[in-house]
Amino acid sequence: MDKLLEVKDLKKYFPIKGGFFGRTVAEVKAVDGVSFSIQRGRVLGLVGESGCGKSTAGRVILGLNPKTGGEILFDGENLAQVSKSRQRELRRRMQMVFQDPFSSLDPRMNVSEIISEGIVAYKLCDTRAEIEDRVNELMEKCGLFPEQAYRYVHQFSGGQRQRICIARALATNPDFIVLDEAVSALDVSIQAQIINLLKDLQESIGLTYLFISHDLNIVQFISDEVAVMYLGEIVEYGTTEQIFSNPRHPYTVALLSAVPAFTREEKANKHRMILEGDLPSPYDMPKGCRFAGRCPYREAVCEEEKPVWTDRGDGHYCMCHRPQL
Amino acid sequence: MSEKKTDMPAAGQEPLLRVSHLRVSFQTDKALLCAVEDVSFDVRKGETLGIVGESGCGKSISCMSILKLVQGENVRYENGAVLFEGEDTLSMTDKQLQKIRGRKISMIFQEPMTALNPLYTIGDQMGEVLKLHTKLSKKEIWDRCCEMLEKVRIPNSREIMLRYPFNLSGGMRQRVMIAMALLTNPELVIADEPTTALDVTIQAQVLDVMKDLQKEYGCSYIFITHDLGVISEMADRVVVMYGGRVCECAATDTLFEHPYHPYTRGLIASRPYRGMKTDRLPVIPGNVPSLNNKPAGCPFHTRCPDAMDCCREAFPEETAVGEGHTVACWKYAKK
Repeated sequence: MDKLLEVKDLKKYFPIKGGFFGRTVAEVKAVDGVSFSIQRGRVLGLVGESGCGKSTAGRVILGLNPKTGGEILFDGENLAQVSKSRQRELRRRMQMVFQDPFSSLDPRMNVSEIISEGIVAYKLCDTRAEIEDRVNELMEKCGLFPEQAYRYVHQFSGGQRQRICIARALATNPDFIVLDEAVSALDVSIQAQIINLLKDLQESIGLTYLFISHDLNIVQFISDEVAVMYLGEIVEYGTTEQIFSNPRHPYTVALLSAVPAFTREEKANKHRMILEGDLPSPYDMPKGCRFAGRCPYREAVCEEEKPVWTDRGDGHYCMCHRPQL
Repeated sequence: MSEKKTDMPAAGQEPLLRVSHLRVSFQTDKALLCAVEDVSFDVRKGETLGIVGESGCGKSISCMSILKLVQGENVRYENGAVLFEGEDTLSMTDKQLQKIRGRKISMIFQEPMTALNPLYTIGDQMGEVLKLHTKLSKKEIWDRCCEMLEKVRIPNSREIMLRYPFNLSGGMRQRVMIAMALLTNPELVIADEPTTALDVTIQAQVLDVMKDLQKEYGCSYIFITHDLGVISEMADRVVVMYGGRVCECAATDTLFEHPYHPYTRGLIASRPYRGMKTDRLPVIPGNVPSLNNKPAGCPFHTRCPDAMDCCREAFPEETAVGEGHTVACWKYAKK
């Protein structure tokens, strides 16, 4: 199998400073031992609630935040061990699209400057004319009109801005893009347009995506594999089909049942599992299973011992004490 | 409000609230921008009316106008009436309005972070509502607040009353908002995107609490959201808005099973669902028009797959297409 990205036991702890000398008094374990891999040309959906560490995981993979521990292998090369120049080359092939198309674009730059920044930084084009051609090509590919190249960001709507963000990410010819809630801030009718664009690009360029989202309907539509995160850990991993039709972890079950029913049929077949309480605070992590406090099936062992990551058949992994689930 | 809607089943009595031909504009340096053009709907006793639409369609403005909460020098209530218990709230003075606001009609806002005052404890903020609207003693107020917090399933309510908003999580804050809105046992609660800022599992909890309270108190809800799933779960009837106008209105199941308006159809089709066969989503082309260059005629005609010449000229009349189902589209207009 051709793994484009492999993440092994990735950890990211944020220190909490306190006291008179600003010493580190505690740590928030935002990502705590996450491992997964993505095959070339596939889409991995990473789902979870706010604060579960899914965005942090995406940022750490790209090196936007330094990692605390673990390994990241991109196309077989360990990012931490290669030379600086090689690292720079590998980074060119990994890009990101952020959630908020309003704050992730510089208001003082016009569209052409925004898109060409990466091209210039990596010296991918030699002449100005080439850069201009490349920008126009990217804009067309993303559904924008080349005549808008010298406009500023405030003249665009949310959906168009997200297209600019995608064009910017594509500028350096990446193989892999982290999409961090890339459609969450958009209106319903615009969301569908952007999702289709992402699918088109994936097929025509052969991109690999890490699709981070909390919207399960969209994740299901776009992903080949899905990983469910809860408090810094992946609790379940499998193909989209496995996760959505046969969820094994109680958290995944609850998450799926929390999606509002839509048609009369869905409403009739629905067994909603309402979870009690909120996420526990990340500085004071439970000793055993992190989900134990909200789990309706918890037993004594759940609060004492950490469950192990086991294969439940056909590459469907789950971290839960209950074998029947 | 057209005659057709009042023919609806179970509409023997007067509706609790009737918004008719509401028109709200904002005066800017350059032009008068019309956010809500001609909006009519009514809310019956004990029902939940859902209002869906994308950002800028005027859904929040029309609902805030019910209590005249859209205020300022540049706001113009140009036309229309909001009849609540037979009285027009738009022509009331502030003093008269104050008797209704928070007492008979209350609101739940989207951002529980900004809607609660960070400088006061939960108990102070909740108590204020009762201090203004009732003659209860301090002790009674305190007890009533605690009781209400328990109703929205906040454990150890007595302790929470002494906490500040920043001590609580998003879901808890939103439940405090709900408790606050229902303290005075209002007739109508306007919930403006109450669960948009929350995670799905927390959203499920909050919706569940809201449904239970409705059963207990028999209040009506106006539920504003852009999430079709939430609407389908909560609402009895739905109003779909686009560009400051109502384009379709029907009972929830009818609307989702047999949508008429091309916009409603597009919205429903573009939502991914489990077991979808296609690998591309059907889309509504184009962008949501901005207020300062709204197209003439039907505001949707620029994006509509079925647009005709007449769509560019005038906005269509509301037409009844089924029991309690009206649509404003030239395709269905009676010639």
